[in-house]
Amino acid sequence: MLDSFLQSSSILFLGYSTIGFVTVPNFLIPILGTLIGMFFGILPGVSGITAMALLIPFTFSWDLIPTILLFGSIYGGGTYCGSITAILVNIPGTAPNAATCLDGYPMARKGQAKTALGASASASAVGAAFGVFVLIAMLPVMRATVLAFGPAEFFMLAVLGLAVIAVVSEGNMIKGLAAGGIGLLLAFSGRDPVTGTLRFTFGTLYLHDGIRLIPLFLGIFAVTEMISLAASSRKTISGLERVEQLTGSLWEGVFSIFRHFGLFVRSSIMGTIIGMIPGIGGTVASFVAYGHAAQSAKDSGQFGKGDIRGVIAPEACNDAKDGGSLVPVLAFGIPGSEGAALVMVAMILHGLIPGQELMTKNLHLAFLLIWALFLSNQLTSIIGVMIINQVVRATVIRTQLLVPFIFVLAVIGAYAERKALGDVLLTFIFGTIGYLMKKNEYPRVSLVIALILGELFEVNFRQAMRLHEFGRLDFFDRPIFLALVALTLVSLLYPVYRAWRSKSGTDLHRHLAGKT
Amino acid sequence: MFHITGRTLFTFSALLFVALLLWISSGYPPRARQVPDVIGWFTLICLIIQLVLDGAPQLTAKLGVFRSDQLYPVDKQVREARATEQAQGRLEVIAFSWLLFLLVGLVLLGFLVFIPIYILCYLRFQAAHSWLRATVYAGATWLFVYLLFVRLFEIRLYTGMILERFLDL
Repeated sequence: MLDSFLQSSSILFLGYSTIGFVTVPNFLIPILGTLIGMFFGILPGVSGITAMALLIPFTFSWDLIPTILLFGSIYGGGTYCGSITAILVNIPGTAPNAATCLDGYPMARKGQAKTALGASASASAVGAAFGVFVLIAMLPVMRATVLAFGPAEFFMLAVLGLAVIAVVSEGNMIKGLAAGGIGLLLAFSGRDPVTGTLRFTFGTLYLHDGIRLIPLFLGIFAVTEMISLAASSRKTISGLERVEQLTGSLWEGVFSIFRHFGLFVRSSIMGTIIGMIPGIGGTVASFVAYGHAAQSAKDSGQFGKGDIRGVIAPEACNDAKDGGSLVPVLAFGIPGSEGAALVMVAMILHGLIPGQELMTKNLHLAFLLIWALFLSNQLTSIIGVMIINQVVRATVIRTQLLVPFIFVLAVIGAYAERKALGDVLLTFIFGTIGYLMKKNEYPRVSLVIALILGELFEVNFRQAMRLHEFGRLDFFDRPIFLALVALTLVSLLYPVYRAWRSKSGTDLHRHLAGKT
Repeated sequence: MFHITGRTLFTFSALLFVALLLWISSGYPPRARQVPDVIGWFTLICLIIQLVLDGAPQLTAKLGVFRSDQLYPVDKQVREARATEQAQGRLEVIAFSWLLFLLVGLVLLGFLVFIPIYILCYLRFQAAHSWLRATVYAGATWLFVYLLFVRLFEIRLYTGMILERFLDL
């Protein structure tokens, strides 16, 4: 493992990559990715996910190493910047930053905007480092675990991931399950991997290879968000007409995590663990951490009115989860969020398959991804703090200026992969579907991840069934499989049980309801 | 009483789509349709339940068990933030119209010709920029697309039906 780490470090700091006709040192690529992630992350409604979806088709001609570095750094680069608008204008840049609004915005209104931003920056950077270190520590365990997984376990893991995503994503559980089911059905289009039968092609040659992921991502993430922006009444991305002068003490905020070090560590641990569970994303993680901070504080009276702990906890948790979320991706090829899904797809499109192959033969590439994530999380906080006034100006970009450019990038991206106008049309179709899903509170993440996991789901299910038919596999003799079945049932039934027990909601729900 | 709203129509459309897929899969060999059938029927049942919940809100209120957002208030702030950006019908129609305009224009005129036209029209007529500013942005976009995608990434962009017919002649 040390060899792989040293190899990846050497590639990153001493290596070069050719992009088009330009040769760049590899260490510049995470900086580029960070800046891209920051720019998209600060814009409410547009996130690093949109950036990754737009960039996937344009990186086809790239080598694997710059692709890993770019996407890993975009993945980590946008998280802190989403807290900037959460603090300044009470609009989270990304959904996981929503918990930061609760105390970050009141702090800004009290004239402590810089303090809140400083606390967010340091909590993000150090929390992310925590998550990455845990990820590295988990690698030997992951390697051993992944080799113990067979078709039955992989199938059940896919089911668990889909079930958890369905339960915790927006809207209600039924909608989540339905969206996941539709995603799986779309995944089955094209040629059946076992029998070779063409399925759900509607008589068109275009669908013989199934639903293409690039048009799907571009439509669901980029086009949908731009339609939402275009259809909103906001003149600027944030709704503000101009940027106001920031007040407060930046460095007081930066060092605040050391004053509340216990809370910071607990939040980081929570984020890392939650990030490891497929399906549970940053939104859940950040609110869990916020709830813990509020409930564990001896003096919780200021929560919701501008308590810095209400910024530290969710931001540390949110960034620590990035490291944890790579555990299922690297070990099993199961993405737990849209961002992780896009990182994984970018790797797959360049021939790197997560899972056993990555953890055994290409561990140095896994370390490269971890490096990119770590660097981007640190850089985004450092750069964000240094140029905070300039970064904030991005929040007043005119909506009608951004929308047409993103549309143009999306259509070019859709076309670039196969030079097929059908991909452009599919992008529009998925953009429309994604917008309607968003409007009717059907979780897009369930559909996307189900579509990605569809082949894994079906192939492993059928392999497991065949092995069972031949008497080579006894499901009751596989403890990991049984544990995953139990976890799946718990994740589906627990919300029902809690709703049945609690008519008025959780303490946190009452706490939040009282604050608004 | 059953309420027909946008939500019920969307759910009903999804239900029809899944039913269509199930009907199509009935013609496949048994092994090929095994997994799609299981998933399809499960999804269909979920959508039927959701259709009932969407169309009968009084039932939804009673059956609180299905609302996970009451248990995990994680989306509360996000929903509130989104509520301030709630799309109005007219703005949606305009947004989709511009999207359709882009699609049709690309098919007819191709990327390099239509993209600057699109940017110019959008910025001038939708964003109410001046002709000069819209033209500058359109030109800059064309240059950006040409240098980045055509020259650097070496992507051959579609030239459009009209131009292709013209070149053939």
